[in-house]
Amino acid sequence: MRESSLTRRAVVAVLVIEFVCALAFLSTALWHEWSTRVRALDVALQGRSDSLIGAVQDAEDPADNVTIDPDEFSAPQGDVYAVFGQGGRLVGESIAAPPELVARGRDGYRNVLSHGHSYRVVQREALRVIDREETAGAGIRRPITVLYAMRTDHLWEEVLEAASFYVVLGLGLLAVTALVLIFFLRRLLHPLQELAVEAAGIRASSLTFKAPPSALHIRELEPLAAALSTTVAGLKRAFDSEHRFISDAAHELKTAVAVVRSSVQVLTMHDRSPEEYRLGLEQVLSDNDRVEELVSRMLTLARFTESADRAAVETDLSERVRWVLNKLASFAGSRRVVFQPSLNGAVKVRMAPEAAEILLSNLVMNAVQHSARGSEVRVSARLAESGERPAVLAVQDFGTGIAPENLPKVFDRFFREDASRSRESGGAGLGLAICKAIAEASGGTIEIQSELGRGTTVTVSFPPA
Amino acid sequence: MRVLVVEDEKRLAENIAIALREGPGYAVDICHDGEDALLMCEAADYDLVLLDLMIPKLCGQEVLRRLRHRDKTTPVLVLTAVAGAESTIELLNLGADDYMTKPFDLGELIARARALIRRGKGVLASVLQVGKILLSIPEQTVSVGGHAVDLSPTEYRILEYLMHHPRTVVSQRELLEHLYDFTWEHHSNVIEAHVSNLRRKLRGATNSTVLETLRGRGYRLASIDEHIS
Repeated sequence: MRESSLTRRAVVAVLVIEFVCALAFLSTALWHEWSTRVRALDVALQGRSDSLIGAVQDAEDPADNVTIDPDEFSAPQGDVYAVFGQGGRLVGESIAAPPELVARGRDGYRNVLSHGHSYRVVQREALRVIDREETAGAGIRRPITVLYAMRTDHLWEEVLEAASFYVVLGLGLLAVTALVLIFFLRRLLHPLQELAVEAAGIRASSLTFKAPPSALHIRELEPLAAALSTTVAGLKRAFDSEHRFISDAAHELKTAVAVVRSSVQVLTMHDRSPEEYRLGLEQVLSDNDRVEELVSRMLTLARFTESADRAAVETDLSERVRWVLNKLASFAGSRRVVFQPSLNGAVKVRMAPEAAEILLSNLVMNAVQHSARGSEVRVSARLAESGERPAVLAVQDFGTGIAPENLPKVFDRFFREDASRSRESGGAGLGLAICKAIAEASGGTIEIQSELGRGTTVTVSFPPA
Repeated sequence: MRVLVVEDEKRLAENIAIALREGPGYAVDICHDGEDALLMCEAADYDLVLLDLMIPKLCGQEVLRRLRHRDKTTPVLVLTAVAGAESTIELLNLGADDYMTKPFDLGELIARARALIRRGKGVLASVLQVGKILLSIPEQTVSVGGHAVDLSPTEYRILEYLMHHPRTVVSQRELLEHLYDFTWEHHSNVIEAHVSNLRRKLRGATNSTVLETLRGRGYRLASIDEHIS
């Protein structure tokens, strides 16, 4: 799209409107000027034709004719006239009167063009009463038709002269308006520019944005500034969290790799017996298993964190619980922990069976690891009684519990509750983070309640399938 | 020499301990969090501390700050996964003597540990000499007047410690502390037997050097001339 400037648009819009107004004003003014002058001309025409009528005299002939007394009337330069008597007989006319000007038509005023000049013509019917001695005081009525034409060229000149004044004035006003408008718009838009400069300073490396005060004081800009602040703050939180994750992940991976490397190096420090080598290599293999486990857990977490859309398949939670408990039975048995499933009927949720299994085994493994010997782990899957009957999964243990200060952090990636990172019991500290990602990927929520020394309950609520 | 390894990754700590015991023959203690690290530094006089940064309870930086605050001059070698100019500058400013990024080479770790311990004792050369006795730290060999002397690992460690502190009275207790970790049964007569063996093996050098036993106080290694004066 072509770049356009708000200032330019506003100025152009205002100027166009102003120009149209000026045109309307100008044409009204011109029309007014013209009609005033025409009216004045008409009055002049009337007067001159009156004089002409007054000059019509009884002719010195036996017929009842009239004539124009040249002593009574002399037409000004350029005027054209003609007087017709009864029966259309030409009584008299100005010298070399153009026939189109003195052609008889209807009474009244009209404009006529002749020899490249414009004329205003008036045609009047008049009655000349002529006193004669023989009629003994009673006048003889002689009807006549008078045509009188005056040049109007000078009228046009006058009107155009007046118009040029208005045009110059109008153009001057337009120019002044444009300059003033540009100046004011620049000042008005200054906060927008400041906002833009501030916004342009946002970088991935320094996610900070402080709305300039000038923008905050303008009602139209304030929402934009506020939105920018909120967005940037949100981005910063997300970036920080990602950065922390990457740094934690790097630490975990490097440490895990360092273990493998050191195990191999310890083995090669001296010549050792075959038995020592065998044990050492087994140790290396088990150290390597931990690296693989860590990588696979990080990939699992990444997979469920990325997929925001809900799975299309339905999974029966009850069935998956049975499957997972069966799979973990020997592990629980080795720790003398008993499973107490509480499942009634199918509990359908919208998620991939594999995701449900990862979620369940993580929760159940955690519960078993934190359980005291001889205690039980309760696993229930049911449809809630209230509302739209969402599916609820709960895993409860009666083990060590979690300290209240650690409770908000348990879903953080790489968070470990046990202070000395006992790798045997835990893993990388990704288990609950994975559970949270899975629960949220299927549109659900995960909650944890715990009391130190009493046990922990993790509850996952899913939206109805 | 006695070294404390502070590393929450148990397997890594074990491997470092094995390498330091089997390589330069140090006594090694292990702990897994910052609080234990401070307690153990109070309880024993270590010649070197290997410190991981991301450890529970107290982070490595805090452990370092508190150690230096207590005027502990023990050399500290920091083990970190984060390599960056900023963190390096911060660490060295906090009083770390050296640092290594994970994953590291155990051979390099041992070499750096040796160098730090040497410098911690104010010794610059890696070959120590007292009178006619020459001790090469990297090769772990001892010779007297050009003739190699065959020492057992413990005898070597006793001699190395004494040669790091020439002309100084070193108590049995101090020797025990620096040669054995907490897992060892402490018996002073163990030291006595080793010292007596050591003295016998060094006899070839006795006309120039003496390994004195100061009853009730400890041992002193010095060349004859210095001893007389």
